[in-house]
Amino acid sequence: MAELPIPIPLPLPDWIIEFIALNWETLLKIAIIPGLAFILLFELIAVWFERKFLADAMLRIGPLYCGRVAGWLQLIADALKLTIKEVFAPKGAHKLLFYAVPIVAPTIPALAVVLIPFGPDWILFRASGAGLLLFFALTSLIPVTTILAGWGSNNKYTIIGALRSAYLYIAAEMPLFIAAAGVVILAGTFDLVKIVELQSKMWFAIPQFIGFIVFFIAMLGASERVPFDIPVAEQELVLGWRTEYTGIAFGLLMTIEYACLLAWSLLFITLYLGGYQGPPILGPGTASGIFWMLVKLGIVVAVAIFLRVVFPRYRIDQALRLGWRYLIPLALLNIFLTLAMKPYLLAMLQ
Amino acid sequence: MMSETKGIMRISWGPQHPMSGQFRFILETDGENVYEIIPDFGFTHRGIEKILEYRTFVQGIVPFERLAMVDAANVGLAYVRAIEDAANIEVPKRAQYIRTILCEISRINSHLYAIGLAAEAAGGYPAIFLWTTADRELFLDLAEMLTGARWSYSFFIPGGVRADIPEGFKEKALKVLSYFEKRLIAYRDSWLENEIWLTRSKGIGKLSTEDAIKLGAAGPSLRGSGVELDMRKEDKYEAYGEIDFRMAVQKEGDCQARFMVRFLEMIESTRIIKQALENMPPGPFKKPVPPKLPKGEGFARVETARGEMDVHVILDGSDKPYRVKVCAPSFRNLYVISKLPKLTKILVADVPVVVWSFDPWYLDADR
Amino acid sequence: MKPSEVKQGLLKPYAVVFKHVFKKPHTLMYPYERLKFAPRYRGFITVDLEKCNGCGMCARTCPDKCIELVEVPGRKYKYPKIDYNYCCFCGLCVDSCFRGALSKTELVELSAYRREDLVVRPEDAKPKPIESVSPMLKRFVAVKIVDDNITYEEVR
Repeated sequence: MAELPIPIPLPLPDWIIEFIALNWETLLKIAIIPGLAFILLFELIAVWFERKFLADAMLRIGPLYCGRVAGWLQLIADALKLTIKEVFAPKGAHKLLFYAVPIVAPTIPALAVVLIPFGPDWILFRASGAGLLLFFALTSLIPVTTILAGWGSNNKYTIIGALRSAYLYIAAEMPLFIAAAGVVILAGTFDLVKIVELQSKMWFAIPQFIGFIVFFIAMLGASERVPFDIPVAEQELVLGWRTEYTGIAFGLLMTIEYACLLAWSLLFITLYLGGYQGPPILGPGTASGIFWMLVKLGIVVAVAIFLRVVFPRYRIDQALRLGWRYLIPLALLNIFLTLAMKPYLLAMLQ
Repeated sequence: MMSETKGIMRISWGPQHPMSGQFRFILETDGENVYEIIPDFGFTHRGIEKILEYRTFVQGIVPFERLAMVDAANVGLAYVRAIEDAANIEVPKRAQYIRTILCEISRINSHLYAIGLAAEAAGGYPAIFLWTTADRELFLDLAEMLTGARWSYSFFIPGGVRADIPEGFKEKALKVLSYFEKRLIAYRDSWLENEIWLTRSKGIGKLSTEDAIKLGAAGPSLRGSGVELDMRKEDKYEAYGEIDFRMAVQKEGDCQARFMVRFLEMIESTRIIKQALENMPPGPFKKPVPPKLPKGEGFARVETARGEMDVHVILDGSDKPYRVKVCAPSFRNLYVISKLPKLTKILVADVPVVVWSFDPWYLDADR
Repeated sequence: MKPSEVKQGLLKPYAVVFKHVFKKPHTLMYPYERLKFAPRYRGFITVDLEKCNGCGMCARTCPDKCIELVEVPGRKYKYPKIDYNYCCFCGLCVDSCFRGALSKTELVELSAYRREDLVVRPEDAKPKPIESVSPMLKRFVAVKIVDDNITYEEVR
């Protein structure tokens, strides 16, 4: 029988203890990084950051009293407040869809996070070399949930919001695929770990400059951040497809936005910014992979969140025009350039 | 709620709404295009014109300026000037300069408020909204120093103003104005030339020059369409005849042009305040006026921040006016808004930006 | 989009707004701090019973008709009783008093639990220090403009 690293003094049956002993590394990864604790902590910190840092830009103080230091307990207080409120569905709503969406929808981007490597061996699911494909497959389920939520709420505002969300997601996802295709052509593989290994000399941001910018803008569109938060918090359609949700269901829906941002930012870092490796100048082995991932994640998420206070929102047709008319041709141009200059680029990366 | 034509629904952009103010617009739309905007008047009607018949002249300035509280000085000035016109009262020079200063402070307040809320209407643009609120505080403090209240000044009476300029007002005003000029540069850099703001407001809600004159637009809506009409230059009332300032006119007629007009007017207001403070003549600040005024009729036009406001007063020899009639600029702008879908293409998402670019103040329209 | 447009339209707003992160916030920590209002501020109105002679000018001038003259036990004339349910703090009554018996203060913390508590009799209309009404108050501040920032400094 395998031995546990730490003895657990609980009267569990033998087969559970053997299961934990054989897989304790994976279970740790599922629980902490890049699993449950990481995602929840990220959301906590991201929302705190958004409220405090953006408040500074607006010349005011964000949360202050809740949690002595800088209001860091504010989000937990808000979540607790939401749990004790009543959750009900409007008359005529499709109860199964209505209640299923807040539970299912935040888990989809969280599921996509398991495919990202946090270190040479620190990856939860390697997917036998098709990590990128599986990531895109998982994240395309997100608009399905929003449409079901909007339709299941039996309200004309939510239907309009859900349809706008669908349009926007299609227009944002196409440039993402095509820009990622540029990286795949350069790297020659779909495997995320191998893509990171190939960036040890130079990050892909430099040879794939156009794809870098296209991916960043489309990433904001896919996670419905400003300036693309059109389906949500519309000035005339109360809250889009989230209108009829109350209580903890509403709280769970708020986490979708940040979970999406987390998933896309991690993919962005993996594809273009070198993943878990440090900058090429410093050489390998300066600090662990997780440290670099967290640093890069912090910078990318900070830049993306700060956009909220700088720009107003696009109209839906302007956002679609941006996606179809500008981002997709730019991404295609990126592919052509990559194909044309592939030998030189590969030489640069050696 | 579907009307007869298949596919067109009526949305109430209603009084309980974060972005419409306290007014109800009925939009006839098919989900994206807006075919008609119908303003629904009467939600905030308070009968101010009737109330004024039961208040003496000095008491009447208090309800009158509640017509458009954000711009209280300009609006209160209209009533006072109409009474002075009816009774042929001559106002001393110093009072005219003090009135000019307070009117321009009020104009800056009103434009900052409109800009902040327009930025909020374009998509929850929190930075500009909160910066304008913070900058208004300084001007409210200035007005408080002069009159004793931050918004509801009640400072003009027939014959002059209620009090003189206090000690230290000039230095504080100059400091605030120099700080404000730096802030205007920040607004220009981060808002007026913001790429995404320009896509939301350039070319949208275009009002041509002929339509602006024909439909009767007022204020920055008129000057944003190329018409050079400003009551301060036409009538040269108070001290505007002796102060050098430019009229802010833009030719395009879209939302961005109207906001540019407001922005330029704020710059001109700072210049007017500085000149008025420099050239302040000595003398009395009010003139005694008898409580009962002889029979007569008076008319006055004043350029408020939203446009031209006309007041017609009939006096019947007692100490209260017989009839007061107010022609409000927001009423006219609302008429222009209701005709706008027939002139240009407006989408549902454009409605907040277009409405706030005309900047109607609904209490003005309903009176 | 031309590169200059991109720089001016997209990157410059970002930089301008980012610089504001390092400025001081404009927030006033009420109720621990409170702005010192101007001397002319029209707040709560106090009645000086020695100077008032009950002429009623203030009651006649008030636009909202919220001043009523009442008897005060032990004194000769009738004195003004002000109803703050309707008072709009215009200050016309203060200006119209020939004897200077009415004066304005900067007290605005006038909340009460019942409507009757807002009707202030003349013997109660005495100047009150603000600390007695808002006990959490620690200091008075005034706005100071330093170059590009707004700070608050303490005043006595």
